[in-house]
Amino acid sequence: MPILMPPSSTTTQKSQQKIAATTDSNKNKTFTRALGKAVTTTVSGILTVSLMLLLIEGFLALNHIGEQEYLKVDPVIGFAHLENKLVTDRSESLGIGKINSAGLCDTEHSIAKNPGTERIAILGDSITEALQVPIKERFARVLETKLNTGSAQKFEVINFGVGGFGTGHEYLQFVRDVRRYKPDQIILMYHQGDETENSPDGSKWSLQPTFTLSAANDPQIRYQEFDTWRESPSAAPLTFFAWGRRNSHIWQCLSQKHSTLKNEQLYKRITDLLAKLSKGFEKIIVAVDPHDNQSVAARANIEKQNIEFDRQKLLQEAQIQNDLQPSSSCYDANRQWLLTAKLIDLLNQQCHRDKIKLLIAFVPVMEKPVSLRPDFSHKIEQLKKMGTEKGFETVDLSPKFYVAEKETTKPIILLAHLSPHGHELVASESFPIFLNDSYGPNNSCSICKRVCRIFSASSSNCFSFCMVALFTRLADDVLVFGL
Amino acid sequence: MPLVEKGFSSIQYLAPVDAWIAALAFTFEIYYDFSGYTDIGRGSAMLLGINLPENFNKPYLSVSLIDFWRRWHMSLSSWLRDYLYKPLGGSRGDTFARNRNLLITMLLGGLWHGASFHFVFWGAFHGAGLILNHTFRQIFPAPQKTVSQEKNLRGLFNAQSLATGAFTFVFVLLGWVLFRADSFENALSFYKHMFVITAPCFESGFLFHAFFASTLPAAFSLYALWHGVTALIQYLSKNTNLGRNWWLTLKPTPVILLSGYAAFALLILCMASKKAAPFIYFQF
Repeated sequence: MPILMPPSSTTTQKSQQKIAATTDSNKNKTFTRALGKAVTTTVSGILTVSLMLLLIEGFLALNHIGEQEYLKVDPVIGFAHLENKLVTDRSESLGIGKINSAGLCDTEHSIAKNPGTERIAILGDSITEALQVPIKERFARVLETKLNTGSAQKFEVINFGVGGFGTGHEYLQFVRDVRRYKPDQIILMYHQGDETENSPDGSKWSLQPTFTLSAANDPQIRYQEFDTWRESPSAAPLTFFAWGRRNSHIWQCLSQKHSTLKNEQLYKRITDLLAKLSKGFEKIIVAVDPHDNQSVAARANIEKQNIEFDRQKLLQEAQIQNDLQPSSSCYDANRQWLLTAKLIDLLNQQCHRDKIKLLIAFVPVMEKPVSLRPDFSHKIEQLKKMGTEKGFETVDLSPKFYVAEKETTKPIILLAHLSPHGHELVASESFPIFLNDSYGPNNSCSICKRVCRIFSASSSNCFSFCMVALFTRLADDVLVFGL
Repeated sequence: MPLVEKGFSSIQYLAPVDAWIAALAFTFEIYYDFSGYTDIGRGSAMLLGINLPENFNKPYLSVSLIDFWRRWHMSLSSWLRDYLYKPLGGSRGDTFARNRNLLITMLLGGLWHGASFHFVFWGAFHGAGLILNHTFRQIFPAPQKTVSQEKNLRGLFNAQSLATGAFTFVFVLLGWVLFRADSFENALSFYKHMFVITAPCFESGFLFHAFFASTLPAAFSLYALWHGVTALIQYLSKNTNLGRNWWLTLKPTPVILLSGYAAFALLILCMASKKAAPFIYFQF
C-alpha cells in the first residue's frame, strides 16, 4: 500500500522555482515575439511606404505631372530660373521644356561666341519665356532657324525671357548677365504689362525689387518691400524645401504653386511651424558644435553683406540709385510710363557703350477682347520718336497680329500667352528687319559709305567694297592731280 | 478650364472631334462625380454602422438599356419602379400599357432633375429607348442576362455583348448631351456639331489638344491598368491552374494595405484639380 507522503520542502521550492522560471521564459518569449512583430511591422511599413512613394514619383515623372516649379529667389534682381530644371506647363496648353544650365528657357548656349556668328539676345517677360509651348516652337528658336536658312551669315538667338520681369529687371539682367554673352543685338519684347511690373503697388508685388523715380525723375531701385518678404517666414520654405521643389514631383503637385513664388495654400500654413523649427535647429547646431563660432545669425549677417556687395556692384554698373525712402509711392499710368521710358533710355545708353544694337518690339495685349484692349499707340509713337533721336530701332507687332487674328482659324494666343502660331508670327514679323540692308541708323561704313546688312561685322563684311571705294578715291585723286 | 465646361460653353466652335470629346468627358464626369458622391455618403453611413445599398454597378458595362437602368442610380430607379411604374400597372397590362407606363416613369424621372425641357426630353429619350429595348426583346427573345451574371467582367468578353454594350454606351452618351446642355436648343446645336462638319472659328480639335495637355490621359491609363490587372487576376484565379500559385493567394498585411491606401490617396491628391468643383448632383 503506498504511503502518501507530504512532499518535502526542498522539492516544493524546486518546483516553484521551475514554475517561476518557465513563466519568466514564457514572458520573455512573448516579449521577444511582440518585439519581433513590432519590428517586422515597422520595417515592412517603412519599406512599403518608401516603395509606394517611389512608385508614385515614377508615375508622375513618366507623365510629366508635378513639374511646375521653376523659380528661385535672386536677391539682386528678384527671381531667376532654377538651372537644369524640367518644367511642364499645363495651364494653357502642354509645354514641356528644360531650363538650360545657365537658367535660360532655351537650348544650351556657351558664353563664348563662335567667331563670325551674329548673336541676338531677347529680353522679355513670360511672353518671351514661353513656358506654354515646347522649346523648339518658341520664337527665339523659330527666328534663329529663319535667319539661318539660306544665309551665309550665321545667327544665334538666345532667349533671356523671365516671366514677371518689368523693363527695369530686364535692364539689370542685361547689365549683369546678358552682357557676358557679348550679343551684337538686343531685342526688347515690350509688353504693356511691363509698366506695372516696374512700379506696382508695393504691397501687391513684393517678390522682386521695384523701380521708382527720384525727385529729379531719375530711375531708382527699391529693395525694401522685397527684403521684408525675403526675410520673412513666408519665404523660408523656399529655401527649406529647395530640394523638394526641384526634385520631388509629389511635393510640386501638393504645393500647387505655379508662376509666382508665393503660395497661399500650403506654404503659409507650414510657415509658423518652420519658424519654430528653424529656431530649434539653431539651438541644436550651437549645442552640437560648440567650436563653430559662426552662429546661424552670424552666417546670415555675412550672407546679407554679400548680397549688399553684389547689389552695390550691379547698381554702380547700371548707374541706378537705391531708393531708401521709408514708404513707396504708388504711380499712376503716366508716371509709370515715364519711368519705363527712362529705363529704356538707360538700356539704350548701355547698349551704345557696348556697341550693341537695340530693337524694341511692341507686343500687343491679345488676351483681352478687342473693345477692352488698351490703346498704346501714343506710346509707340513716343518710343519711335525716341528711337530716331537716340539711335534704336522699333517694330510694332500689333497691326500684323490684329489682321492675323481676324483672318486665320489658328489662335494667336492660348489663354494669356502666345500659341505656337503666335510665336511663328513674332519670328516672321521681326526677322526681315535683320535681313534688311537699310537696317539700323548710323551703321553705314565710314569708308565705302555702304549700309551694311550686318552692322557688327561691317569691317570684315564690306572689305571688298571698301577696297573698291579706296581705289576709286585714289583714282579720282590721281586724275585730279594729273589734270 | 475643364473640358466639359469648355465644350458646352463654346458649342459654336466645336468640330465633331471636339463635340465627341466634350460629350465623352461629361459621360465620365457625371458617373465619377455621382458615384463618388454616393460612395462618400455610403462610407460616412458605414462609420455610423448603417449599411446603405450600392447605387451604381458598373453602369457603362451594361449590355442593354434595361440593364443600364438596373445599374445606374439604383436607388432612384428602384424607387421609380416601386412607387411609379408598378402602381401604374407596370408590365402587367398589354404592350401599349407597358410602353405608356415606361414613358410616364422616365418622363417624371427626367422632370425630377429639374423643371426644364432638356431634362424632360432626356427622360423621353430614355423612355423611348426602353420601349424599343422591350419591343426588341419581345420580337427576338433571348436568354436574359441578369446583373449578377454580369458582375463578372468575363461575361462581357464576347462579340454580342461587346456590340450591344457599345450601342448602349453611345445611346447613353447621346442622352447625356440633353442632360448637360443648358437648354434644348443648345443640345440640338451640340448634336449638329457632333455629326455635321461645320466651319469652326477655332483651330479644329482644340478640345482634343486640351485633353492631351491635361493630366486625364495619365489618370485614365492608371484606371485602365488597375481594372485590367484586377480583372486578369480574377480571371486567372478562376479559370486556370495558376490560381493555385502562391502569389495569387497572397494576402497583404494590414500595414501594407494601409500604406497602399495612403499612397493611393496621395496619388489622387497629386492628380487633383487645383479648383474644387461642387458635385453635379448637389443641384438635384
